[in-house]
Amino acid sequence: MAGIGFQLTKLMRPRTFTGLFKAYGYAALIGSGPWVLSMITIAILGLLLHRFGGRGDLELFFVTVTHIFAASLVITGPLQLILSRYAADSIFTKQDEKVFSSLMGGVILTLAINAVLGLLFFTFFVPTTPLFQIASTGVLMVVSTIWTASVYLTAMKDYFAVVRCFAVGYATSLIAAWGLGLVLGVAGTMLGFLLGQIVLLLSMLAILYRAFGTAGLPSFEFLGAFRKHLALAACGFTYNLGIWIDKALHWWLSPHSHQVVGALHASPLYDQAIFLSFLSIVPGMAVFLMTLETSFAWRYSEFFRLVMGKGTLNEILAMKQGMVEALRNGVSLLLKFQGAVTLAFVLSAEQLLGALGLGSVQTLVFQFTLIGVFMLVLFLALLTVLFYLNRLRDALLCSAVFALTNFALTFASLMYDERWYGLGFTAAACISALLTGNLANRALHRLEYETFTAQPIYP
Amino acid sequence: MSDPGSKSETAVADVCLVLEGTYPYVQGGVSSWVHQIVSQLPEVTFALFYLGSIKEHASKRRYEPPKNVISITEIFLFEKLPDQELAPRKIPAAARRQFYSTLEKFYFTKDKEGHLDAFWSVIDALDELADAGHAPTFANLCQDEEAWDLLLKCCQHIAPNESFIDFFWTVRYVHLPLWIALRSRHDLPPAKMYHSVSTGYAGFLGAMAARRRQVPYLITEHGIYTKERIAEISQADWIYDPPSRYFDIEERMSPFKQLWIDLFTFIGEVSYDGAHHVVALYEGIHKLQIEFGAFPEKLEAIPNGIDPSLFDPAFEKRAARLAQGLGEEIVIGFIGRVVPIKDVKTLIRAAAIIVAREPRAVFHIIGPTEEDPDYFAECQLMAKLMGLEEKIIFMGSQNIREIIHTLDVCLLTSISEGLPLIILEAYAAGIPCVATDVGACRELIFGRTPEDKALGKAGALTNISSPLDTANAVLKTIESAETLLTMGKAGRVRTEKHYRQDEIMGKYRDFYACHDWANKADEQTGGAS
Repeated sequence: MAGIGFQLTKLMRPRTFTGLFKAYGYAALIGSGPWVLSMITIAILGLLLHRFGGRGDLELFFVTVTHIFAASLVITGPLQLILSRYAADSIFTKQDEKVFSSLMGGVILTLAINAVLGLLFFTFFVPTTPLFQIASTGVLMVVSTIWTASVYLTAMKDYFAVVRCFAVGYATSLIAAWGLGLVLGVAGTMLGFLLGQIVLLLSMLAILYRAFGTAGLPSFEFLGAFRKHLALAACGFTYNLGIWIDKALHWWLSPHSHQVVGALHASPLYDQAIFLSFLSIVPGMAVFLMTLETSFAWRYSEFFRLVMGKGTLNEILAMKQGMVEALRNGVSLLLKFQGAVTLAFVLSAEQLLGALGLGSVQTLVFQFTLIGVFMLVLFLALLTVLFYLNRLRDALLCSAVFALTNFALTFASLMYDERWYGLGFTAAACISALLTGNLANRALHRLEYETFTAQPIYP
Repeated sequence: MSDPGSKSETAVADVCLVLEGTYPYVQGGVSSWVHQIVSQLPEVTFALFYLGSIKEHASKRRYEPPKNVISITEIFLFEKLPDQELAPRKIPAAARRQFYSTLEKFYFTKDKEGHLDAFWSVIDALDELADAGHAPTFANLCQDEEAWDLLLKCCQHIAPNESFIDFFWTVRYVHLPLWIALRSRHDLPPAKMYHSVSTGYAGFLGAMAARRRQVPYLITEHGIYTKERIAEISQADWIYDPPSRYFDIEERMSPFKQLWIDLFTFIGEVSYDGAHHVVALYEGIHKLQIEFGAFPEKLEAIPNGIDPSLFDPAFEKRAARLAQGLGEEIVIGFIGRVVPIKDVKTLIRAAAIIVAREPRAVFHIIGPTEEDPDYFAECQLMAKLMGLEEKIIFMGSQNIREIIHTLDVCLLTSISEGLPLIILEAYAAGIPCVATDVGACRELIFGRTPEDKALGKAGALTNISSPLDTANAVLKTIESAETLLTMGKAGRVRTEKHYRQDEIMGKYRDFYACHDWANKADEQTGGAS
């Protein structure tokens, strides 16, 4: 009989979903953990410094640490996101052994880059004692490496061990900085701080080794992922740049700033206020992470489970609707909760800063930036959604918009007097949060379309 | 088309034969029929358009086409699309929306006539877009947002409670070969008329080419393509069949199988719609053709034919042998492929009964055994278990004309047939046939018209898969040399009078030479399409 035989259509047996579903959402958490931690550290160090008297050489220590945190985050930002993607891909393709070797490769790379950059910078631009220069370079290297290694901590189930690492590390840093400071002056303070950070890094590496340590040499294969995920790397850079650019502008351009030593400047009027503001977002971050983990992320994986597990169209669409609602609820909870916290801080700003011995101009900046960091948390939350949906281009656009608006508006606010300080940052965070919310909403609504049309015609 | 001069040099053939999975690459009844037509009508020039599944399967020609075949074009429906089809083309928004709304109308028009009209509108829309340089690619159909919305709408309509991912892939795979067929519509060679030897993809393209060039289109159907595909799909295990969620009293097919069935039913309807005339091998099948969408006024029956004189030597030899009476062996022959549709197992069971009553009976199974090795092995094992190893001989492929005279009676146990050529060949050699009551077998054995019936019966008719019935019919036929000779004579005369190849070729010669039949069909239907 005429006609094409059907045995051939076995070639055409419907396949399962071939797209790679991975928890990329962690990327934004990874991106946010380190800077939140650094802001809090700086704020607390600042408070301690303020409390125990403005000894000139302690300011040098504080300003140096602030610069080191800023630089380390901008430098390692791209690497953090690339490593997290590389590790997720390795786990997905069942090549778990690549995870630890990429960690070792990342650690070596970070140490090397920062050793070079640190030595160059501190030798030529920070004219202090050689011991201080070397200790500072060491802190830059170690802190950067901590950020790099922290990427892998998100895969740890033992949160308590992680918290213990940080607690022990920072306690050592504070005590050693104080103790060595008494003996060796400011260089000793830095050396002591370095000691604690080394303890932290080593204990981190130890628990990471226990979790997924494998024999095998450090590998730099992840560098290939830079070419493949250029948008992701760019995202890591612009995102961290955006978070720091307003502070840097104040250091360099504000009439209230002063040179501490060499290239290191400080602008206490702005710095003290904004770093204190960052303390206010801790409860908001916690609430947001919790909703994201419990309702959104769960529905997200359910969505893919349904898609791959023969769910009906209506089930799939209902699950997507569930994601939309989970996000809406999460954002509204964040708005309410963090809104209340921010409002409380704004209202009590005068008393609070007064008690800390800060002036009324700083109170005004503090009130503005409280709203700014509130918006920043929202921006971060929505950016996380974009990462979950693997909308890297959108995420890059949003972080670039944040960096640019923060730069331009902070620059503009510096043209006026100190009553405008902090407004640039706040406005930039608002604009970025709105844009990101818009894009996240659109991406979520087109989720099933994007999911399926991304399928190759011949899988 | 790489050579710019080649287009103008392409001669317009008298007939373009659109062939799906058959001549010249695949052996079988339809292929030998096609070879007969092109060889017997040397004054007609033919262009062949071959639709295959994958290229690999069409590497060796089984027939060498004669000189009047001026071109052979090949298309493979299950090969990968070329790269330019895998990237979406930018189509202006207005044109794109217009196209998808036309497409939506096609998917959502339920009545048959409106559905066909909507289909031709889609083809026109595609041609218009192509002329404007915006021809959509397959990637457009996979990635355009309008296409996605349409897909969701269809899913809500057809399979709201089924696995969406299976719906998604089924829809894609249903459309892939169809799209390859569609985009090859411009590759059909120019011809004064188109003739497809089945409906299906071949008929679909034949209809499209004929409409495009405004020339007549003829279908000859040996089997009912649509019905065969439906039978295949209902048994297919490569289509996802969701586990039954509830007891379904109507035993409906899964929506995924239904999608494939709808496709084949639809391309069958397009074929019938575009055809000016539809020829079957025998009238008994018209009912089925109408059921699958053929228009009654376009139908006609033209049987297969052979040249009986080719079998004169066999006829003489056999007659001389039987004049001496029945020999020590009575040879019952089966000629055909050893495949399930021929139901060789029923023949083996019947053989056991026959041998018990007529020890002289032996069975020669003549025909290729490679097509379904598992089935062949099962048949061999069955013969062995029934102790018939000595009695049933699998002879493989043989030259029929040379060995046919050794047979006393020809036996066919098929569960489905068209008009089996082998019966005519057996008749020409004077051999009566015992056949199942399928296809045209009844009219071949008893005669069709009163005058034909008067020639007498040329064998016996049996029920399908009935070993006892088959055994009785065979035993009756071989009871004496006289019966065999009388029945054989009736068969020979029937073939000479009604199934002469030259007469039948004459009918096709008329179809090819003068296109009045097409004009008449146009007048009747007010112009096809």
